[in-house]
Amino acid sequence: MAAVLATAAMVAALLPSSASAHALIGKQDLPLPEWLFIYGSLVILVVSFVGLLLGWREPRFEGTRSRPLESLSGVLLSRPVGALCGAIGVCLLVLVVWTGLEGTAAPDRNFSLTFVFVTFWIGLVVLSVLFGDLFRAFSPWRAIGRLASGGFSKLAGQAAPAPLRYPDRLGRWPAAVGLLAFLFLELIWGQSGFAAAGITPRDLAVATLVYSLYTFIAMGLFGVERWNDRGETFSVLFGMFASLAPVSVERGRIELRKPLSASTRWAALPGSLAIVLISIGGTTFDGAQEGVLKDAIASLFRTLIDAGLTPLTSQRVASGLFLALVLVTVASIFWAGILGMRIVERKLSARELSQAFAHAFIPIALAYVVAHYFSYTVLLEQAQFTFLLSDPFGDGSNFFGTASQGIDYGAISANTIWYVQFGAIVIGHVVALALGHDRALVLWGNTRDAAWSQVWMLVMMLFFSMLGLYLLSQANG
Amino acid sequence: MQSSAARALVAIVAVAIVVVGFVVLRGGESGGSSVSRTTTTEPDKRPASGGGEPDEEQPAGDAAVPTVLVEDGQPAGGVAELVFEKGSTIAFVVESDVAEEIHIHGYDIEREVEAGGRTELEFPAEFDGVFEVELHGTATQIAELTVTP
Repeated sequence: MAAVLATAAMVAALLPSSASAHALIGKQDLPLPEWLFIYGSLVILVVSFVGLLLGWREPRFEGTRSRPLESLSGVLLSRPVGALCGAIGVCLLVLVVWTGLEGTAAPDRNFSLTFVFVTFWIGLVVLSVLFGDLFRAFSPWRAIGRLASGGFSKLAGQAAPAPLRYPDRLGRWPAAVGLLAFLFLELIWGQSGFAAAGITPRDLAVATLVYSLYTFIAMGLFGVERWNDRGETFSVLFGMFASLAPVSVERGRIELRKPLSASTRWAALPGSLAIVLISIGGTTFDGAQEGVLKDAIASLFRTLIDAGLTPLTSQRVASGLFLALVLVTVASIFWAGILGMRIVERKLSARELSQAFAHAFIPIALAYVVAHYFSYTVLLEQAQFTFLLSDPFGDGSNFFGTASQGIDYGAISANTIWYVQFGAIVIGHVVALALGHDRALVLWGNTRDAAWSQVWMLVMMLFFSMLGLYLLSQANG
Repeated sequence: MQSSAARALVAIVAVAIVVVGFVVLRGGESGGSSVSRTTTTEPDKRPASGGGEPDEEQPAGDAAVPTVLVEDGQPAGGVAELVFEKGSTIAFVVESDVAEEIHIHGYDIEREVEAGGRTELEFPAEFDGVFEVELHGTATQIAELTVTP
């Protein structure tokens, strides 16, 4: 009886804890008001039909035209700047592992968690969309890999060939698997409910070391550049968002190009679609576990506890199953749309169609990230650049004199947050429609067939946009 | 939809729907909001007694201050929901049978409560959002503080 009571108390203590990463922050956003949810849906519907009726007749984003920036390339792509960027990346990697292992266990006072899950994971998405593929320059793994292969070439007097040829069929699948692993670590792994909900700094440091080792081995086997282009999770994911940017590096030069235009070529490799869908699914799950799915996860959790599992295992299994369920749902919606499109279009296989339209969902993935993490990022970056920078280990040091500053929770009002979220979803929807319409023009040549095929595309995109708004109106983590 | 006149018409109709929709929906919200909020304390209400129930079910304007009851280190009747409006004064009472430190996240307010004692908390609702109120020692959430804009 005492044991039962103890378990009951423990379960009660476990359940109210909000999502993992929110151990970092003392505030949750208010849910999107009902009127704004309805209004958002209305705007998305109107925009969709207008888009369908007024769609342009010539593809606008498919071109490869770009304008090189010669002088800027000379500076930014020079050897010293490259070495400096790589060194910064390596220093940050070392700092993450070091603070994770040696710093305080308090999640919100340790540099590593906020840096990895906010500054790096969310911040680089935003920076990549604005300025192109920055992570290529700052990736610590690529920098170390290049240094090692460069050193080897010098010693051996010849370039080091990769011992294995990277199988083309593998495409971006290794990155997709890595992305799943990262989401599991971020959203599910450490939800123990007590003092520190979410992954501990130590676990994060160990995971970083394991991932680094795995990346070094893979780069050694398949070659540094090849692995970073195809298999390295973060290069691939940030590269996907960077394909929306107006800047790219081509043939050793920085070039200006039409925004979104590079995304039209991004999804050609196998596994690319998986990356887009997992990105959408991961953010969907993070939003849903605080609202729509909260009770369902809690009830499965209790069932597992009753079945004799420990609270931590129960939490991991329950949340993991629901993450899988969300991913399957997201993928099913996409495939239902693709199969619907085949009613209009019989020449292309479902596989070809899925590859042709995968890139049109990148803006939706971006909209989800912005809508879900906007306020969270603004607040936690204040922590990142004040006390976490001055006192990264949480041991009372004050390197830059900002250790006593904190987060100003009044920095952004609920109204600002709501309008940013609303704007992100609507703009993401419009951009996705534009990319889909453009691709349909390329595939079918005339506006009429393109528009018909796009009805199915539109249904999918409407679903994702309204789902995004709906989740925000239920709970706003 | 070939002629430019038809295109312009579609665009105008769309803009009209979007603008009218905004006005209608937004207007509907501000009319209904004052009715739907349950626990909105007025700025100058002082705690009259500690006799309130540990819940949000009090009509607006009631002078009673909500009380969160802690039994065996757990919130009696589940996590209490406290709702206030931004700009008003947040006021509630915690009664506990264990000695603990009460921590309000976000506002970063900490207050001791003795075993069998009560502590009154009162501070201005400066920023909106949903904040946890927890017992610091065991990190048990006892209340959810919602500040509406």
